[in-house]
Order: sequence, then C-alpha cells, then structure tokens
Amino acid sequence: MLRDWIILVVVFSYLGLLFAIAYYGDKRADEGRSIISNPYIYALSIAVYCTAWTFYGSVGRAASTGIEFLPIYFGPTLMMAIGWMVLRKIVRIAKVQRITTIADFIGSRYGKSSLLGGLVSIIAVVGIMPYIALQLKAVSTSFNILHLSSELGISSGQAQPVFGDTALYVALMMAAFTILFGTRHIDASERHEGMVAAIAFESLVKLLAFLAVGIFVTYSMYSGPADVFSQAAQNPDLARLMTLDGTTSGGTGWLFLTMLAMLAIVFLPRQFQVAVVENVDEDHLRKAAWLFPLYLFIINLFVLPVAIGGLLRFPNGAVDTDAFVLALPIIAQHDLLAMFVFLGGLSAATGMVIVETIALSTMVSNDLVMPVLLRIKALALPSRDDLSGLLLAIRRGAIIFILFMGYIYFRTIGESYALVTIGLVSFAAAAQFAPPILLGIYWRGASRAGALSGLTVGFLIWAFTLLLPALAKSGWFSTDFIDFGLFGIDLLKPYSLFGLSGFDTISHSVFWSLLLNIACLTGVSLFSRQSAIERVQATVFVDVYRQTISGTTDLWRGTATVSELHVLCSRFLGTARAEQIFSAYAQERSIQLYDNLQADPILINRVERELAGAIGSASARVVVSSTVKGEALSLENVMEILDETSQVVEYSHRLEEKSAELEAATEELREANRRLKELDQLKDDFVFTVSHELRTPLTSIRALCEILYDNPDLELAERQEFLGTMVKETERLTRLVNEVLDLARIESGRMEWRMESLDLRELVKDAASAVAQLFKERDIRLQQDLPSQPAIAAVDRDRVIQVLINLISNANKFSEPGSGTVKVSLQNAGSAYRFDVTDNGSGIPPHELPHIFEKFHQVHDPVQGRPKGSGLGLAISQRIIEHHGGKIEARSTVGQGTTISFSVPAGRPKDGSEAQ
Amino acid sequence: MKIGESRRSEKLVALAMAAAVALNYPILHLFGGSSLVLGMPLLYLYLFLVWAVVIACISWVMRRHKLEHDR
Amino acid sequence: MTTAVKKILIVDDEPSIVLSLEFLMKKAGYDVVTATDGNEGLERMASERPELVILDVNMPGCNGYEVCQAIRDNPEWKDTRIVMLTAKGRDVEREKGMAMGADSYVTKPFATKEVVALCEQLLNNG
Repeated sequence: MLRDWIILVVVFSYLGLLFAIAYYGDKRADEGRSIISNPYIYALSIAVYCTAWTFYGSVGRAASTGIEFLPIYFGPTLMMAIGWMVLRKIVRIAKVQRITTIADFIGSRYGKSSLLGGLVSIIAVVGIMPYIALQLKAVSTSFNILHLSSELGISSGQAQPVFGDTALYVALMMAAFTILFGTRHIDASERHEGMVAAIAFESLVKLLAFLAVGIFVTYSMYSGPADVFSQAAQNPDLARLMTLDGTTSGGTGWLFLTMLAMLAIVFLPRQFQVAVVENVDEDHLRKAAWLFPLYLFIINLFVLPVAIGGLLRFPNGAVDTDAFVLALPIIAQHDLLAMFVFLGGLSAATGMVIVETIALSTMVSNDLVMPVLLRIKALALPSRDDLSGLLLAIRRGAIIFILFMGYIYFRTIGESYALVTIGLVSFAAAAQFAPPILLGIYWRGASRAGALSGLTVGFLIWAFTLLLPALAKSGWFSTDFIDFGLFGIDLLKPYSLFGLSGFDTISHSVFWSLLLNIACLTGVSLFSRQSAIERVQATVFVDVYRQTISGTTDLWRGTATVSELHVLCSRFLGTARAEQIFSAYAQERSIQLYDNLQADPILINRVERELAGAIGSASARVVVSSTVKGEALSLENVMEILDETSQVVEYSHRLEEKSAELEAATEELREANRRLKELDQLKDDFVFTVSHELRTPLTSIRALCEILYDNPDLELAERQEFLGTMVKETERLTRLVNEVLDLARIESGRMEWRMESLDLRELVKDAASAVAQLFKERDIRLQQDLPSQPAIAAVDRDRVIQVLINLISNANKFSEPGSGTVKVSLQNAGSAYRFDVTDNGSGIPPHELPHIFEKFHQVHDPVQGRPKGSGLGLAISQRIIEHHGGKIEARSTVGQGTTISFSVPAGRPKDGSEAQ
Repeated sequence: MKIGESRRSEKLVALAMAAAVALNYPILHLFGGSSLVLGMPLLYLYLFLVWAVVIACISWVMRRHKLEHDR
Repeated sequence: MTTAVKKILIVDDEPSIVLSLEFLMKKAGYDVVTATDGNEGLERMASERPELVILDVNMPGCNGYEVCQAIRDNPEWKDTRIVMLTAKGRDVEREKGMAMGADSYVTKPFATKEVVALCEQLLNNG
C-alpha cells in the first residue's frame, strides 16, 4: 500500500514535469524554434484521443463484451485512410481562414454566423460534459484504489464520502492546471505549442504504462498470451469474450461504432484542436496517417489478455472491471508498477481534460460570449483599448465553469454508468458536427438555414435519446417517458424512436440524430436562398485549393484608413502583433502604408482574418464593420458615425496644433535671434567697459611712471606721493583684472569650485580678520553675530570668503568713519543658513537698488565722490551665491543704512558641483 | 488535383473500403468460431493482423506517392 | 606783448590722472586748475578762464561731451583750446569729440611727453 503523501508527491512532481515541458515548448515557440514541428509529435498529440476511457475503460468493456472495444479504434484507422484528404482540406481551410475552433469553422462557413457559432459552442459544452465527468471519475477512482489498496474488495459503485472529495479536488486541480497551461495570453492563431508538447509526452507515458501492465499481466502473472487464453477457454463465460458471441450490439452496433469513432477522431473539439488548429505543417498529416493507427494498435494489443487476466483473478465482480488495469499490479504487490499505471491513467485523463477544456473555453469566449458582449451597445467594446484581458478572463471563467459542470455531471450520473457508455454519449454529440462540416466543404449549396436546422434537430434528438434518459435514470426526473414515450406517445420512446427497436442505445441515437441532421441540412438548403456572404464563404471553403489570395476581396464595399485598422488591430491583438501584421502586409505588396491611406479591401480582409483568429470570425466581422465605413451592420451605425466624426475632429485638431506649433517655433527663432544680437551688443559693451576700466589705472600708472623717470630730482615727499599712488593704482588694476577674470570664469562655467563641508562661522571670522585693517583705518566698527552651534554647509571656502569680504568692504565704504558700524550675522533658517551684512551708512537710493548687482554698476555716493570699485564685486558675489544654490538680496533706506543678505543651503549644493 | 494526387486518393479510398469490409461483420463471422490458433483466439488474431496490414498499407501509399508539394 | 602764464584746466574724475597731469603741466610752466566732474569744470571755466582745457570723456554725471559743447556754445570761450581724453580704439568717441568742437584728443594711456607737447603746440599757435 502506498502512502497518501507519496502518491501526492509523485502526482505533483509529474504535473510539475508536464508544466515544465509545456513551458519549454512555449518558450521555444516564442523563439521561433518550435520543438513540436515534427510528425511524430503531431501523431502523439492526436493520440490524446486515448483518454482514461482507453486506459481503463477498454479493459472494462472487453471484460464484458469481448472484442467490442475494438471498433472505437478501427474507426480512426479507417478515417486516416479515407478521411485523410478530408482532414487535409479542413486543415487547409482552417489555416487560410484563421479558424481556431470548430464552432468558428461552422459559423464561418455559413456566412460568418455568430448564431451558428454559438449553437455549436452550446452543443459542444453540453455534449462533452459527460466525457469530462468520465475523466474525473477515472482519476478519482484510481486514486482511491491506490490509496486504499488494502480494501480492494470495495466496489467503486458504493458512494463513499471520500470519493466525492477526491473528484472535486481533481476537478479543481485540473482547472488550475488548464488555466495555467492554456490561458497565459491571447495568441491570434490559438496555437499552444507548449500544451502540444506536454500532451505528446503524456501520450508516450500512457502508452508505455499500458504496455508495462500488459506485459506484466501476460508474462509475469501468467506465462504468456497462450496461457491466458487457454485458461479462459476453460471457462465458458470467458471463452465467450474471445469470439463474436461476447458482443452485445451485433453487426449494426459494430458498424455504427466504427462510424461513430471515425467521426469522433475529427470532430471532437479536442481532436479538432490538436489535429487541425495545432497543426504546424500540413505534411505531417501524411506520416500521422499511419503513425497514429500504429499507436492505437500497440496500445490495444494487451487489452484482451489483461481483461481476461483480471476476470480470472477477480472472478466475482469484487473489483470493477474498469479498475483491472490498476488492481492487478496492486494485488501482485508491485507498487512501483501500480504507481506507473496510475500515472499513465492520470496522463490519459489530464491530457483529455486540458485540450478539451481549452478548446471549449476558446469556443465559449469567441463564439458565445464575445458576440453577445459586442452587441451590447452599453459596453461599447469595440472602442475600448485593450480587450485581450477581457478575453482571457472570459476563457478562464469558461474553464472553471466547464470543469464544474463536469464535476456536477459526475456526481449525479457518473457513478451509475460504466466509463465507456458515458464516453460514447459524447461521441454521439460530436458526431452532429459532421454533416455541416463535411457537406459544407464539398457542397456550395449548403446554406446557413440548413445547417441551423440540421444541427438543432440532431442535437435535440441526441439529447432526447441519450442525455435525458441518463438523467432520468439517475433520478433527476421520472423515467416514465422512457417507458411510455414522450407525452405518452409510443412512437416517441427515447430508446425506440419511431418504433425502431432492436438496436443498442448508442447506435439508435446515432442513427436517428444523424439521419435527421443530414435530412434537414440538405432539405432546407435546397429550398432556401443564401445571402451574399454565405455564397462567398461557401466558395472560399469549397474551393480553398484553387485560391492563391484567399478570402473575399470585394466584400467590403466600405472604406477605412490604415491607421483606423491599425488601432482596431491593436485593441484586440496588442500593438506588437498589429505592427507585425501591417509591416508584413506592406512588405508583401511592396508598398508603403501611410496612416491616412485608404486601406484596400485586401488589407481589410487580412485584418478581419487576423482578428478572427483571436475573437472568432463572426465577432471579427462585427468589429471590422464598425470601423469600415460603408457596409455595416445597423447596430454599429451610430458608433461608426460618432467614430468618424471624432476622427475628423481629431484630425483637424491635429492640423491646428501643428500649425500653431509651427508658428510658435518661428517666433522662438525670431526671439532667439534677437537675444543673440542683444548678447552680442552686451558683449561689446562689456568688453568696452572692461577695457575702459583697465585703462584708467593704467593711464595714471604710466603717467606717474614717466614723471618719476623724467624727473629724478623730484622732492621726496612728492615722489613718495606719486609712488604711493602708483602702488594703489597697480593694486586697483590687479583687483580689476582678477574680478573680470572671476566673472568670466564663473559665467563660462570654467570656474573650479572646491566644495567642502565647513563651519560657516569660521568663514565669517576669516573674512572679518582680512578686512580688519580697513576698518581700523577708517575707524568703523565691525561686529559679528554668530550662532552658538556649528553651522555646517557644503561651500567653496575661498569664494564665500570673497563674497563676505566684498559685502563687508562695500558696507565699510558706505559707512561714516567714527560712527559707522557694520554688523555681520549668521542665522540658521531651516534648510539654509542666512548671512546678513548691515551697515548704518548712507544707504542706496531706491532707483538704484534694483541695479546694484549688475555688472559695472557703481553706486554714487555724493559724499565720497567717485567710488573706487570696479562695479563687479556684487555681480561676482551674486553669481557665487547662485552657484551654491542660494539667493542674495539687498534692502536699504537712504540715510539709515543697507542690509545685504544671502543664503546658502545647508547640506549639498543643488547642482551637484562636488564632482568638479 | 494532379494525377499523382488523385492516384493516391484512389488508392486510399480503395484501401479504406477494403478495410471496412474486412473489419466488419459479414467477414468477421467467418472467424467467429472459438478455435484457438497458436493458443490465441482466431478472431483476435485475425482482427489484429488485418489491422496491422491496413496500417502498413497506408504507410506504403503515403511513401509511394510523395508529391512535390509534400516534404 | 605780455607772455602771461597760460592756464590749463584739467577736468577728470580720476584723482591719480589729475595728479599726474597737474604735475606735468606745472612742470611745463603752466598754471593748473582742476575739477573732478563736469559741473565743477564749467564753474572753473567761468571763474578761471583757462586757455586750454583737458577734458576726460568718460565722466559720470555731466560728461566730457557736454562740457565741450557747453564751452563751445559760449562765445566768450571760443578761443579756449579743448583737448579730449579718450579711450583708444573708439573712433566714434574721437569723431564725436571733434564734432563737438574739440581741437585735439589724447588716448589713454598717454605718453606724458606727448601730452605736454600737444598742449604747448595748441597754446603757442595763438
């Protein structure tokens, strides 16, 4: 007996492995290096046909009806031979028309009818529900057997509480798995390479697992097939199974079963998905035509021996025949083999569920939900920006819903029936799709009305003859109608409709449903008229091999611009894919696609087809018609008019904007020109002023020099006076040159700033001591008002001292000797430090105050006469402070004094000039 | 359809029809007895044998009639 | 003919230039009066009646041109010689000064000998 947790660990590891394979497959596909592009993988993926039904149910069926399990596999073999060309045509049509589900195929063929697409989706979901329930049943049963392997005596027919729970968990797990696998993004081609890789792998696992158990039973539990059969021959019951006597449905049953299987291999949604939609290369069909039957051959070799072996081993019905495959290894104490077999069954079940639910959910979202939503004007879907999120959400919801329905079905009905019976019910449902498709691709006359009526009738009969009786028998409602016919009418008995009796239920149902389906299809088609689009689509489908540029070229009589189509594409497919489509088209036709170009009908069709891949052809038509002005469905007229109007308005807005922009640009140019001229002028002025300022001291120096030179016997006092003047003038000249250079350097950005974290109080003290002499000479007091805490900021030491000296000396100049006081204060002002230099001198007149920081501006003190500065000091100070990220300003009252304040940010300077 | 293709299709159809006959009841009845050949039930043997032959034939037809546009 | 000592008026706002010019002119034997701005210069004109005026062009307030014009406007001073002190390289200044009625000009920085020679020439040519 295997412990629970071991089983769970193995299961989850296996699922993890599958997911990894799928992930890898998708990744390779995105890179363009597909790993599934070979016929062997293709054939293995088609082998998803063998579900848990094959794995467990074949043995079960063989144990009761002998070789009657075989027609289900003969059918596909025959189909590959004879139907291979049909399949090829279907694949070709699907590729050309970008058809991604069976509902879309049918809907598209009959005039892109969303009604038909919706109907097919409903039939598919209802019909496949039993099949999914079957898988759930198989997995939960096998899990329980594994889990309670010591109590094999308990037949699975008894309802156990643990049963239901297991199935629910299985359903949830499968839902999660499927969502992870198949709904990671919306791919317009609906291809899921990763999924295909994973199920191909699963097909391999289930084949090997079944072979393993087959070989084990035949050669290990017994001594070879001969042994098995000879033992069976001794028991008349068992011997029966080896001949035709074992069969219960007779010749017609056999025939119908074969036929049904032939149809199922193509028209089950999951088969359509893997064989048609996921097909990478048409040529793979050639090899798959015999590879797949070979697979079926191998996997069925040991069915009968295992069945007989099981019957021999568990003679009294102690173990459900469906469980033989698992029970035999367990009873023989081969836990490892049992685990392997369980994994094989799990593979078979999960493979089916994943592919089937993905196919169904795509149908539900594209062909059932989206068309409805698109028609609800309130949602205004075609004008929303990104719908892929919505599509994905609908798909995920559908997956959960489908699995939930499957679970419900299992709980209510599943336990009463053998696996095979349940499965065949689904086969019969899928078979209803065969007439509209098969006739549709060969007969242009098949009309939409015909298909609608045929499908409806076929579905109703199927439901009446198979689904309802099963529900009734499980207690949902009275079984009277089974025994006495509908409304008591004898001819309407579900198992012998119109008096046809003597057939097994499946054959009976298939006969009537298909007969009436075909009859309605052909009859109504012959007497109904096709619309234009129906005729076009019919030709497109039937003549698919004859067309090079497939698709209708003159259906769209309307017009649309390239950019409108582009926007539409992006909304549903994303901007990247839309871009791809358009550039590929432009390349193909060797043309350029300008935004406002009229899109030619071929492009419109291309767009429509691409959209069809993502949202179904009917919805695609609706959406394109709302953009293409002209042939449009009435519902979209208003939207379209609004759209058009807003487009026109937008366009003219854009035009206006552009011309406004142009004007603005021209104006800017003019302005810039003007400023350049101004600057040029300023430069000239600057140069002139500087040269003048330089000349003045030079003049006196030269003159005095010459005088001293020419008059060697000058009086000492006079000589000293002259020399002193010269010295002062030299100093003045030097100062001026320095200032000009400073200014030039700061303004051209070539100044080297050395920022360091300093205590600003030190700087004030240093500046004060530098000018101390000056103050002493003129008998003016200098006061310092500094904070008690250190004032740390990042500053350039020399420059800030320069500023302080400049301000203090200015203050000095404007102060009265004797009574003058200059105060320097430093304050912490939150995020900055503020310096104030205050004097009680004559003040600056209001008309000059705004100009004092200008270059060469000198304040004229009527008392002092000509100022001695160059007029550059304040300009330089201002620039220094601004470079630190601070501000400098002046306040003054004439007669009372002036205060010049500047601030320095605490911390780092704004322009990050530390790097310099 | 070109000549080769129709040839191929013809053969396949013929094959399928033959198989359908061989694998269905009237003929099956011939082997319906309960005799054991080599220890295996006759019917069982027959069915699987025919099946194998059909598969082989399909494979042969596909290979034989590989056309230009196939790969 | 009485060779009266000629008087020269120096009008310049730069003290050091005034200093040097004053020395030069005194050395050359002239009387010197000075003014440090245009208005003062005109006052001196009226009160001292110099024979020659050395005028700095770039003065704040009442600049050299205005003084020059004022002198020339006054018929009493039509004989006064005017020498402009200009910065080099600004032809417009020179031309403007000459148009105003200046007799000559000197560019700064000047050679001392040249200024003296110029003044003597202007004064001796009556």
